[in-house]
Amino acid sequence: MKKKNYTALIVTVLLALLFAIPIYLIIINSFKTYGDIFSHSMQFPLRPTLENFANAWNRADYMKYFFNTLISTLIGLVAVVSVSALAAYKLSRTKTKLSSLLFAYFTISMLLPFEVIMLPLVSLLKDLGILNNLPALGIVQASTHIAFSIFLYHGFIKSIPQQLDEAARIDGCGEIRLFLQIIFPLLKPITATVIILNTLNFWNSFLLPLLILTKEEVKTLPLFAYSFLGQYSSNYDMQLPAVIMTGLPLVIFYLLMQKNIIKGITASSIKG
Amino acid sequence: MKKRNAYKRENLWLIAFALPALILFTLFVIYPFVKGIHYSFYDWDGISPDMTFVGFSNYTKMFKNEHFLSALWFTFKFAVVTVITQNLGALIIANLLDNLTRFKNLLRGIFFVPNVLPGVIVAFIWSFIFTKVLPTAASQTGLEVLGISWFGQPDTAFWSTVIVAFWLGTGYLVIIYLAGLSTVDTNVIEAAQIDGANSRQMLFRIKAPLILSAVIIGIFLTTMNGLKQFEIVFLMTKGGPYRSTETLALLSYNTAYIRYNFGQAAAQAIILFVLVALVTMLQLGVMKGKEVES
Repeated sequence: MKKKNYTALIVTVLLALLFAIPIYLIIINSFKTYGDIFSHSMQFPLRPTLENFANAWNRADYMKYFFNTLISTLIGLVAVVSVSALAAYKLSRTKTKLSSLLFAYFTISMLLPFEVIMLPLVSLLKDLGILNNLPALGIVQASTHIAFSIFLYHGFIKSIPQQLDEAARIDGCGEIRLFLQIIFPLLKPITATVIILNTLNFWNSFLLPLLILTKEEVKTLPLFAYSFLGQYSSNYDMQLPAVIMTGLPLVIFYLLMQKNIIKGITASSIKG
Repeated sequence: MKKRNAYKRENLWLIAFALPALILFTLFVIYPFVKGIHYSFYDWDGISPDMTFVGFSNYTKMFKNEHFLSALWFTFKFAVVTVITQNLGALIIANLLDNLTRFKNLLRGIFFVPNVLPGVIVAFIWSFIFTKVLPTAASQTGLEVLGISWFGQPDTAFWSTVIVAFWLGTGYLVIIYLAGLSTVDTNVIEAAQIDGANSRQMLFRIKAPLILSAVIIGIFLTTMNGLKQFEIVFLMTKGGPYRSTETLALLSYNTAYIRYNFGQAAAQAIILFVLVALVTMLQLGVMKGKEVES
């Protein structure tokens, strides 16, 4: 039994290394001079230098793109959490035909890939005059993730005893206060899941921002990386540090939130 | 009468609470979907005000178009291969992790990291590896097979997209499978061991059927991701060489934004939806049936 455990450990470590190698290669090469990237792309940097990072940092207003991404992500999160929790609460508590119809209306759209609605959505945003608008991006991202978030909340609310609502009502608590002061605080674990899973989606979103953010001053980090990598095509000494700086915020988020992310994915898949 | 009033009151509160979600969802998801169906019956460049109604001709033309047929075939092939490789890989990795007593969380964490990277970065990392690192490795080690022009031929370009999808998607499934495996009763495993089941039989004949619901979710998610694939091919192979790695989603994008044929692009997107809906419903139907049987 013990011997078997060691074999499993060695095989798993080797597989994990295979998964980590691409990122490792990006990191080590970002500290090399242009010449060394070409001649020794596999080796550990012999003369490590931070010059690449300084150069890449100076060529682009990285913090602007960072804050643009942060703003649209935060607005999207506030929107998706508030409207989904509200809707899911009554959808879960009300046992009428209308309620099951509405629930089906929301959840069936989970079979609808974003790529299908992309063209008309962009035309609509153009007609509404909200292209190049970060809060609008946040709200639209939230809208395309409402179904998934309602689905998560719905499953969780079922586990909260309904007697709680009834007791509060007998004490004269109104519906809105009941939700805000009693129910919503109890939803904290699933709200954390909704926030974490949607943060990954919103922050890294590419196609929608690509189509609706055309002005430089509103671009998000993935769009910055897209145009920067295109502009410095084959200038690996410029591209590699930009790649690391673009990926870093969410890798840090992941390292801090790892336990919650894993709990969130598990919860969302079991409910399915 | 009183009961009916209570019923009505409940529905009114339901509507009040669901209204913000309903408005946003209908405006930014359902309306564009309906509008997309509408566009698909018109000849339109996406910019000019004149749209000409053409009936089903965008659809009938499509099935005579070799680029559409090749995109359909590529999408199908890509979905089938990624569903098999990712689920098999994730099942094996999750089973290995499940047997570990130490470093389990650390190792699981490594498999998941690609998931938190933006697609632009993933595509760059792999372009760097396929076009820079592997050729260097080939010349230094003499393994010339590594140094082939990966994006130069349709076959190798296809496998390069499969490799990237594997790297990107497997870690997510590992988490789902690992959660499933942790619920398997150890008595069943011990009984199988006493009966002399080898480790392959143990995984595929005993554990996999016991975590069928996790397997269903894994297959469902990978099918969906495979059929709607856009980012890897758009960013890494750009659909090439010779449009051989063009997926349906990328074809629709190119038809709209490179060839300015919005009507045609909308019809292609609707076909993508029909494909996703049919395949996933069929899968869920077949598998739910299986779940009841076992």
